[in-house]
Amino acid sequence: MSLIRLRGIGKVYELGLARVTALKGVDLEVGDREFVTVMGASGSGKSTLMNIIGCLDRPSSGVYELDGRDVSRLTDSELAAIRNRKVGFVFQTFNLLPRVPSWRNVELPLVYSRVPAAERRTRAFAALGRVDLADRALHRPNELSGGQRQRVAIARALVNHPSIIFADEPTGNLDSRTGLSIMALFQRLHGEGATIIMVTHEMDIALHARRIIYLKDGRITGDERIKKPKHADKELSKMADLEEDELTEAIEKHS
Amino acid sequence: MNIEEGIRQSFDVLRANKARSLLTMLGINFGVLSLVAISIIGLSFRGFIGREMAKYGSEIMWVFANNRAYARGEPRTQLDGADVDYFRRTLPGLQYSTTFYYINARAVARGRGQSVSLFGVDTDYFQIFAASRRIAEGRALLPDDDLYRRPVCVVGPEIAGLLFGAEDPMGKRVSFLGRAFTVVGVTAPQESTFVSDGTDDTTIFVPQSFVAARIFGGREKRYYVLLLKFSDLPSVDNAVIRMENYLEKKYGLLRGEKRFRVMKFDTFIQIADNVLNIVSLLVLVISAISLLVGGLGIMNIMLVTVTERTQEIGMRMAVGARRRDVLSQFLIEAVVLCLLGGFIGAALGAVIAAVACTLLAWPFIFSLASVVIGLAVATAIGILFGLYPAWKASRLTPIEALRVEV
Ligand SMILES: Nc1ncnc2c1ncn2[C@@H]1O[C@H](COP(=O)(O)OP(=O)(O)OP(=O)(O)O)[C@@H](O)[C@H]1O
Ligand SMILES: [Mg+2]
Repeated sequence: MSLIRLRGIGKVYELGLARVTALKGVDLEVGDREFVTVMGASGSGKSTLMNIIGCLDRPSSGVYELDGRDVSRLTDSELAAIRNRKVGFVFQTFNLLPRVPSWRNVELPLVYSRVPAAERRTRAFAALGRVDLADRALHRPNELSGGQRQRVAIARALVNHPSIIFADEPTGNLDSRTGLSIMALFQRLHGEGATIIMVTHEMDIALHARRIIYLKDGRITGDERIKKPKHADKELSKMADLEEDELTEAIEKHS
Repeated sequence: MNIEEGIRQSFDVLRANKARSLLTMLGINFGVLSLVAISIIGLSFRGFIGREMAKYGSEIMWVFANNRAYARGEPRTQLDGADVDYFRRTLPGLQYSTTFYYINARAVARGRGQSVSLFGVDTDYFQIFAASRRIAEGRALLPDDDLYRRPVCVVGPEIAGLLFGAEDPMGKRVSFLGRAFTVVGVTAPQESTFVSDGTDDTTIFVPQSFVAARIFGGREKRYYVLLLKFSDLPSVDNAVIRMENYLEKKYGLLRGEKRFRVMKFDTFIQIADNVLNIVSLLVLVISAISLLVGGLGIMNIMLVTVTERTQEIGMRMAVGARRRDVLSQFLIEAVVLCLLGGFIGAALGAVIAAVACTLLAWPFIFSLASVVIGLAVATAIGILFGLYPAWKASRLTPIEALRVEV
């Protein structure tokens, strides 16, 4: 059975007299343990689709079943509970609280599911361990690099053991090397059993997933499995090798 | 969101915006400060009054010309000897009574002149004022001194110093009213006092007849004031009625007004208490206004906070915060801000009251109730004025909140 099942999902934004149709009858199924990338031109409706699947927003029409349950008619607080327990979000701009240490950012979802303080702390530290940031638990976001910040955000998305992780352009604010390290992390999490749905503009990044969905003008126009996904760890080690070479050699190799 | 978590987050925010938070609190600070200060000062004042009453005994009353009845410069009707005798003979429960005169005179001691104030007191003066006008050395004036016209006097400690320097004044002679008086007693330095009979540490007490002779010469003596002390309060109330009746029957009214005022110490205290009540009311109004202004300040800053932190609200909703979690978070922040302001205000208020009590030599009586009420009011203000911004924050949808650019 599919984890996610969309049937004729439409989304219309009403802007006074103007109406913007962001999604037009999207059908989509995503199974457990998939790693999906959503691609498409700017304004094609990628974020809109992600927000609906992530229960941040409601569709204007259509039926959305998450884990076999119709969520299009749920109340605000039922949706909040789903976001809390079933879904983990990673944003392009990280969205961390700037003035509190990493572990307190990571524990936030647990605060809203009423986990006792001591357990929250242990689980937040464990989640930071999974993204290799155990040693930065007491640092505040402004003491961390962009990639480290995004990893804190990923730890926050992981901490409540969600069924799906959503990432809207998680590498959009990072340089390509740091972006690759985030992909390496996603691939590892996917290997450990996570379901991941990610939006990106960059084909280089998209090719780390197992499936690409292409959106155009609010419709799905392409849906392909990737037979040979890129392996982020390998690319990274290649880049590391390159750094160890002499600069002149490296220039020669690349020109 | 549970309250503990809300409070922890409030302190994160407070730490991040120290100056702004402090400025926002000022109204609450001042409101609670004035509330607590006036409560403590009021209590201490009443405690002080209680102490004074205990010193004199509240069974004191006095009768004197009702100045309200007279035009400026119009001669007052005064009590005569017969009235005073009548009251002394007939009022039940009367323990002590005294009349007194007060004049300024020139005194000479050790060949040097000094202007002094003379108090011509009657028999029981030192009994009635035993507590406030203690004799430190020697003796008080006795009924016999007046009867036999002994030229003796009791001097205040300050005037004793002025007249005799470092020498012991006891048995020394000082001349005024045309004759030499022997010092037979020295009064103790006066403690701060609320009620005063007009005497102080520079007063010289002399048998009344010497002063009366200077004032009235050969004419019949009149009495400006008669002070009475009874054994119990019902006797005081009874005496008030009898004296008023007697005086009205004998002297009649002047243009519809009583010619004399009979004043109980109780009533006198009551008047002071009324003044305190009016002052308290004024301070409470000021306190209420500053709390209101403070509350509006809190509301304003909370609205700013909600706008500034829209992204954060969106993120919190994305990780599972329900509307009521957002509502309670901002409500708790407003209350913490107000309560902190309240604590600071209460502490400052208590300190100010303590300083005032020390300066006025009043007993400091801490009012826990006023602190509790002050903090409760601060909490209420926080809830009242924090509600709208918090509600506004909770009405955001996660998508709207996340999309806002700051
Ligand atoms: N809140 C909104 N109100 C009105 N129109 C909106 C709103 N959100 C999105 N849209 C419109 O819906 C369409 C799809 O927007 P969406 O953000 O999903 O695009 P996207 O594929 O994520 O683009 P990008 O790659 O630039 O992020 C756009 O035309 C956009 O203008
Ligand atoms: Mg987008």
